[in-house]
Amino acid sequence: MFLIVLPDPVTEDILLLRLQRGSEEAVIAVYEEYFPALYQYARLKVGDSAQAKDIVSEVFVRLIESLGTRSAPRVSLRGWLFKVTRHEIYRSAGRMVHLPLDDVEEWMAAPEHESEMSEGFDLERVRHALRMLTADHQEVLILRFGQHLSLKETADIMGKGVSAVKSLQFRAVDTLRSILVEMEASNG
Amino acid sequence: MASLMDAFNECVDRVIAGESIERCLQDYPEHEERLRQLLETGELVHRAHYPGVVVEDAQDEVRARVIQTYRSRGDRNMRRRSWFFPLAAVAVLVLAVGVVGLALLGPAVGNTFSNVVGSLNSSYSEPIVTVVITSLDHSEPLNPAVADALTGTARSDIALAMPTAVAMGVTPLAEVTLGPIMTMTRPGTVTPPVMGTPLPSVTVASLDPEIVGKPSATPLAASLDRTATAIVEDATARPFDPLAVTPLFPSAIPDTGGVGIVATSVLEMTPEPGTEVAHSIPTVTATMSPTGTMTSSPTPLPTGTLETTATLAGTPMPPTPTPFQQQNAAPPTPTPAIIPLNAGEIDDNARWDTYLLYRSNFLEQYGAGVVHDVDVTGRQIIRVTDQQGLPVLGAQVQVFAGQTLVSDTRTYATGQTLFFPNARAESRGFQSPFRVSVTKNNINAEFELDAQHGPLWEVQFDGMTFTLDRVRLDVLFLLDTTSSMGDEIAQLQNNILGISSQIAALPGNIDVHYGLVTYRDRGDEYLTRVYDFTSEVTAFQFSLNSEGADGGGDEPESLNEGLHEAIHSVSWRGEDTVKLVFLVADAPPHLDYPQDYDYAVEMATAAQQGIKIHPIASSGLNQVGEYILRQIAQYTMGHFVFLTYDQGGSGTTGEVRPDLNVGEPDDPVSQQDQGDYTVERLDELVLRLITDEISSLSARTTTGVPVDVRVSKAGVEPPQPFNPAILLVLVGASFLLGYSFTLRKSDKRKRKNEAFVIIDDAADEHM
Repeated sequence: MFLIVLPDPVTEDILLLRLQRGSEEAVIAVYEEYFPALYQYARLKVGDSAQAKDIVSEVFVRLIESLGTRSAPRVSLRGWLFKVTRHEIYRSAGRMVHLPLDDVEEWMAAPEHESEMSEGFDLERVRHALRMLTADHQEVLILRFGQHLSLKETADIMGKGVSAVKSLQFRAVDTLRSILVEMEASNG
Repeated sequence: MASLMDAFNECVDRVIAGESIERCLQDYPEHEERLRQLLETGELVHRAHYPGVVVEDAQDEVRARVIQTYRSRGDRNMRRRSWFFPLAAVAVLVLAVGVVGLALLGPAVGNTFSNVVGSLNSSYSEPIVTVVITSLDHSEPLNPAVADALTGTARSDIALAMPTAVAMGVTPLAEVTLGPIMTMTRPGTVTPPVMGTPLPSVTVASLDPEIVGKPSATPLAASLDRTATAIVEDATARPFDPLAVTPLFPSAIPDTGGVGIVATSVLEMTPEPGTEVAHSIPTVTATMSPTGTMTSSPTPLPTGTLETTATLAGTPMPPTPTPFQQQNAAPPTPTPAIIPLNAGEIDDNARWDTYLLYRSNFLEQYGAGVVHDVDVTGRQIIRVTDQQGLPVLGAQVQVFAGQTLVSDTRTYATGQTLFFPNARAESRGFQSPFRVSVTKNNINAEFELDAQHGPLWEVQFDGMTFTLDRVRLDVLFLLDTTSSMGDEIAQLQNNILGISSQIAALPGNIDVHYGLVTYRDRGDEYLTRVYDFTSEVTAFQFSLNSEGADGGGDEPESLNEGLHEAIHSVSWRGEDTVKLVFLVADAPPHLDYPQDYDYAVEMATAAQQGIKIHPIASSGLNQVGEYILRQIAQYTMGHFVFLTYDQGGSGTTGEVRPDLNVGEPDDPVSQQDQGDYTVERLDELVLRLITDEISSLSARTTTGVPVDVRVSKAGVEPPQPFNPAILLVLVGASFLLGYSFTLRKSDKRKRKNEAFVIIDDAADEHM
């Protein structure tokens, strides 16, 4: 199992400070720390590996271009990166990326990597079930359960209140479960 | 006992913090089974991460791109610096020459402004698909004049697209194409819908080259959340006069080609209250299938009944009551004695510093994400008067940053309107003075507005006397009728009935129209009900009496939808009309609905049409709701009104409102530093707000041809004519001098450094 470990707040603060000075090492350090989380987020949302890579690449291009300007991250580096990733996902893929329930196998892309084949059908089915949800439901699940972001961070990134995120995550999990049950039933 | 949702939310936090699912389940045995299912499903999402090796491969691949970007950016910045100063100098010179030229040419130069669809710069970060709106021939951006010429069908969809069209400068991803617009002739022969009649449709097509032409790439989609379909027709071919046409977009069907969606619409027609209706009225049941085809079949109804039925894709919809007054309808209920309700009021525009403090405290505490905040700092007040110094109602005030239209509003009865330089990206940080164009009765005045020298500006049309035959007043009540209003709706209805009777009894030659819009929430019996303006107070009271509180559920309600209908779906009269909305609510709008309107856009539209909104906060309004209602009031120059209670709480008339940030009644130094308020009876307060608004418009007569236009900053003598070209030339010259000096100095330093390098190199060679 590949786990994402986001930098703790202190490490993040140090990274942010280094980044604000604009050195190449700082940019690379931020890249190494955050790429996995951002890539997982983008990949789960859009499904396609190349598209996810382009999205995350664009996020870092925007980070670099923002250095020294008013739009550079100032308070929360991780919040900034996730927000921009979210924006790039929508810019790249449209507001609502969800799939119909019918013929889910036809929508499933062939595994691009050997390790993806070895992990079995079930997880791929979960990913595709995720993409059948509405954009908000996908997002809250990926950020909360996938990335283990706090309620406040998730709310900030999604531009919603904490109470809205609470109710959203409940409904999203419930819907995801229903889809998975239905998929299981239809696939015997 | 905690609800399942509360238990789930707590367990999620605990599991994320590292606790096991089993441990958390022990605390909630009553929900154990369901909770386990949900938490395990959540855990599946975490497990669905792609394998580490996949991520590492991707990371290796992208790393080179990122480093390359970083390095090339460094080079580009170096180049930019080396070109910047000479370019800037040339630009200043060209600008100076241009301005001198323009100054010499003077008024001979015409005004050509770019086509601006208009946008609000809300600070919320809801990324929606960016759209470009095209005109009917699908080939060029929509001209506002074209938009105006379209039916409500097109406009309502444009309004839907507006929040996305703003788009914070993001590259457009999609375009909205307006399909054929059905032409309605009114009054006239309105024939029943015919099979195959082309209905308005909207196509949203992606512009993203990654998507276009690629089947099953990532199709755009939309939900089927608008379902009301109602078509009413008079069997005797005697048309209702006039017909209110409310087109709906009940469905949006994903395009199988994967390039976009097609949303198809049907029309809803509603006779105005007071219309004479034939005794034999059939209904037409319109059924809309997912493919957009429409069938219709007339069904006779009993005499004197008007009813509509709606069906979408086979799902029966509840009947939609249609507001009207039948010829033989029972007389309206006599207005009962008013049950007193007490209320306080705050004018945030009059207490500006306090409001800004309240605003910043709120945003600091809750964050801008919970509301659709508009940056109102730097507010400018523009007042338009005639030659007698009396306010001019309905003057159009347009503000341009360069050639870009950044604000378009109409003056209220006080002659005032507001301009917010920081509300939009196009105007925020704009350095040069804004150009303000004021138009009334085809008379135009222009002046330059430097926000640094505001905030009060007075435009006086010398030689023009603004006149009215009689004061025209449109008053619309916009009511939240969800069940949370149940404790007060009857009293509020009672008060509004009393207020409407008092308005009707106002002295003077006042021509009053009354309107009513009620709203609930998605999933309720209805979303909105629109009772168009009527001059008959009894008809209005009849409509009001028919409403009750029900539905709702969660806290926010469809205020966005209600506000939109109140502004777009009723027949507001022209620019010489005082237009007021009293919005009664106890909850904020839903900000999480897809395909929803946006209150921030609606309030800007209200200001554009000269509609003033006075919210009335009922009991139980939360902090977010208070902020939003005060935003709406402030932006449209309305007052924030709130019911007050005694210590016993809502429903008991008194003087306090401890749940709002409104300080204490009659307390000059509130501990909350939000100022004080006085308490009045609600009906008297509302009546005062109305009479204040119209008092300055009474007893005017029409005359006048303009002679001159004088523009001055309020309270200050008109400024002496000043040619900006002189300033620019001076700035340019100083800039060039400074730059040449810097160049010479840096050259010297460079030569000196090169000398040191040569010396060092020489020294190295000899080491």
